[in-house]
Amino acid sequence: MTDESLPPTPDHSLDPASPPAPPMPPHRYVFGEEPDTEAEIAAERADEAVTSRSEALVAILIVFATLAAAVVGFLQIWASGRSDAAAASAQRDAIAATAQQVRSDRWSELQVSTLETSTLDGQQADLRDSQAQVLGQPETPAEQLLGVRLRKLSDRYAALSTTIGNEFTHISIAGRLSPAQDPSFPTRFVNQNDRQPIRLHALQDAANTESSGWSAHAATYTAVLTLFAVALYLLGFSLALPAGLGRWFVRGGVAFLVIGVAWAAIGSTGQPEAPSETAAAAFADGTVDLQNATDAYDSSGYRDAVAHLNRAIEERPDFARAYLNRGQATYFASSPTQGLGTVTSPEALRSAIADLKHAVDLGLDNAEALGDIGAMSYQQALVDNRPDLLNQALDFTKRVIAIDPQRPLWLYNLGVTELALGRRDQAMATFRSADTAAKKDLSTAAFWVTGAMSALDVLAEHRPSAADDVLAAKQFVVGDLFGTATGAPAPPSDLRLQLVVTPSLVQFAIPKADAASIDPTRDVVVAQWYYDDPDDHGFAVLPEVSGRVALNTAADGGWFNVLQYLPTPAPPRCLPTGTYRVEVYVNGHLAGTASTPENFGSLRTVIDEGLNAGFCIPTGWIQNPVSKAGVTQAWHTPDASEGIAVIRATVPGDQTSVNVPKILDIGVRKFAAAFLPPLRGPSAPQHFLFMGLTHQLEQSYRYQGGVIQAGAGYDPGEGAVIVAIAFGHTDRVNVIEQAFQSLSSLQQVPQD
Amino acid sequence: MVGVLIAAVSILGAVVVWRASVESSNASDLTQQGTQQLILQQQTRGSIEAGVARDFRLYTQFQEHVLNWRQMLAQADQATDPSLAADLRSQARGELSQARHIRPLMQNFDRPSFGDDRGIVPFDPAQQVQALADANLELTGLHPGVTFAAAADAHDRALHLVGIAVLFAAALLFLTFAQVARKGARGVFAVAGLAVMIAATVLFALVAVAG
Repeated sequence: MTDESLPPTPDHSLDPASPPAPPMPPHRYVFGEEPDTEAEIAAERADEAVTSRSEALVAILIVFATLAAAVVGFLQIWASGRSDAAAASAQRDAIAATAQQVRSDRWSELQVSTLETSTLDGQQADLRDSQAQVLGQPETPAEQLLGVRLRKLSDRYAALSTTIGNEFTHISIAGRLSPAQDPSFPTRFVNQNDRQPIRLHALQDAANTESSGWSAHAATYTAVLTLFAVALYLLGFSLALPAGLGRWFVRGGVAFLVIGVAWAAIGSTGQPEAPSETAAAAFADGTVDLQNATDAYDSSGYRDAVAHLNRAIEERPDFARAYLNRGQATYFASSPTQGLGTVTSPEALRSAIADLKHAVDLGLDNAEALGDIGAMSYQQALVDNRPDLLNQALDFTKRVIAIDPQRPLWLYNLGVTELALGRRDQAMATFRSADTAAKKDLSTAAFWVTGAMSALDVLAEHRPSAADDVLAAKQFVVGDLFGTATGAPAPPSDLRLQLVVTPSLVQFAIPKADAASIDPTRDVVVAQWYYDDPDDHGFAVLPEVSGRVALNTAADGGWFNVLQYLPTPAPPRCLPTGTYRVEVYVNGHLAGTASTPENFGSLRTVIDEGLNAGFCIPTGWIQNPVSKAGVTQAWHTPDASEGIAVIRATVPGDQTSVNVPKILDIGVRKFAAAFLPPLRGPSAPQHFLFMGLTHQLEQSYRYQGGVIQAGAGYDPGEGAVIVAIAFGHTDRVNVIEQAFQSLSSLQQVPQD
Repeated sequence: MVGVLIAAVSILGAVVVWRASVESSNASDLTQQGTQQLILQQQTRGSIEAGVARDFRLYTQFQEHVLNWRQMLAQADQATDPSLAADLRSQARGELSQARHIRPLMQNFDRPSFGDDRGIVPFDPAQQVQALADANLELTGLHPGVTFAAAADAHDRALHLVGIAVLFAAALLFLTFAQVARKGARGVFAVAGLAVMIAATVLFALVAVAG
């Protein structure tokens, strides 16, 4: 700094040869310094010669720092603006997604209900035709006219449904989305309608991520600006200080300046990605595939989901939700189970865990991700024999319980993990807590228990030394949740169970010799059915047929329990080939267990809600074009040498009784006359539980080289007769019998 | 001279900061306005569609009765059995009666016709939604897309002005140093300050003209 009142000081740095300036008057001083001696004044002049050059350098540094601050200040405001813009975009996407969801729900519901009305009207008309054919009763003129009107109404409703599809949902209910191909119709259609909101939510998520990225940049620039402010202060203040101290201030200023420039340069690299439409679209497709896969009969939907989610991640590597969904799809693509997954291939397990952990690392710490990592880490610890992963399982399971403390699933997972860690007492206490939580909603309690039983079975399978602990835990959970009979004697522990498993049902029987040890009116009997696929991934409980069961008296005086499986899952499905095992608990004690391997071949599940029938056929069979949903289902081999047909006919309202045996016989003979050799038979009628219908009977016929298995029954609720006919070569009788015996009513309506 | 420049830069800088503040405030207001417009637009559209969907449910019942009415009358005319024809006519009257009962319940849908001779009542829900949207004065005044674009423009202008303000600040700093520095540094500061000031002034003029 200088005093303007002083005479100008020559710039020695620029002109070293110029003569020295006249001596400064001794009474003059700068910035309050005391008057100097001659020697001091000379030294000061020499110092000023150097200082002048330093000031020029400092001035340049200040210019540079100021410009750098100006640039970074601009960048800071620019980054803040981009952050605000991205946040606003996210807000707009959220509004649009919500509005789209409401719109989709509204119009898809109308599209489906209109189509349903069309279908029902059409089926009513078809049923009247079927009534004439099956019952041999010609339609009256009034009924014929009604049929005509019903078909016109059906056509009109179908046209209206199409109109809504064209104008609002822009999705046609056809192909995979149609009632004929979607076993849980309208699930696939509804999921497809959700695609657009999912896509918008994905864009919203990406915009939020972009906004966060720009915010981080802005924060970096703010910090850099602070450094520049300090640098400017140090550089500027150095001009007012003695040369020695000033140099240190300059050095400090330069250091701050260099650090700031370097930091700003580093912070400027790697700009946040703008939302990717491609990633959002791929994510929406993958998520819809994942939702649909749970209702499919094979794992192709999961594989499709993985392919789409791969694309989404490729386009947007920081897409946390895509990793979460891909992890789940990968797991179930290799799992023979649905719902609560406890078994899959080791490769799928490792890949799924990696994806889920990546999702969490990217900031997605919701209950689904944390809980799944916990459960899968437990499985991997046992499958790969890596006890160290049990602590990871424990950690993640505790984290999910911290945010979702009352869900029985997490508590059971915690219990099994503690048991695997050898903390038996702690595990039992946790199981008690889990049971308490499960009992709060009895409608789902048994389902949660099946998850615990499956997870415990994984422990027993991979660590035989823990078998006793596992048994104790299973007995504790079953006894605590389902209860025990008071005053009952010690339950049996070595029941000899006889199993029957078909594609549509499971049954266990207790022979008469052991029957006395159980009193069904007193004891609490619980059955847990397990399934292990042909690739031996491990046993997992079938929740649909597991839980408390009733025992019926068998023909030999023993007990038996039979449960229809096919109509129970959503969607209805046939049991696959594999090994089945049952554990029967009596008053909380394992009373017996047995297993049976079953080879049903490759099966297709056929369901027809209108017909109220489901059955299992070989995958090579094809549908005959005469099939009409709600009235007739006919399937056979391509050469029609074997097959099955199910026909439904309503009885006129004025008819109160039905001669089912006669209808069956007429139906079979009419059917066979069309393409089979003359029939012999029928055999003596047998009265099993044909589809749970009343007046039911089954009988067989023979023709040259072949056999017919036929059955019929009456549904008094809807006044309908169901006739089923399975036929084929004699050497294929097992296949015919399997298809015929799998026939199940999808809905049993209680009769007064 | 430097003092004059400092005064000019200070005044210009203040003006630029004021304009930047105004533009920034405008951008913020427009963003809010656009968001509110978008919400209101979606709500109004949702309300219109809900009304049409409600009418559609009533319409399907109306259509069924009208179709049955027309068909029954046609079938009665062709019936050879007088008893059946009488029965059909009686049922047709019942169907028409129910159709008439439903018709006034449709509030958004212009009273539908009683269909052609086949009983087909035309109804185009998308056209109905569009007609109601066009007739809604509030909805026609909502243009969130335009508002968001205006907000983006205002934000860009504010950003440019902030950048210019930073330049003026830099110029002011340089000129201040030129005023107080020793002779050696003074020239560097003065030239830098003047150059930055001129550049900032030109940019300000460009932004002002473009705005």
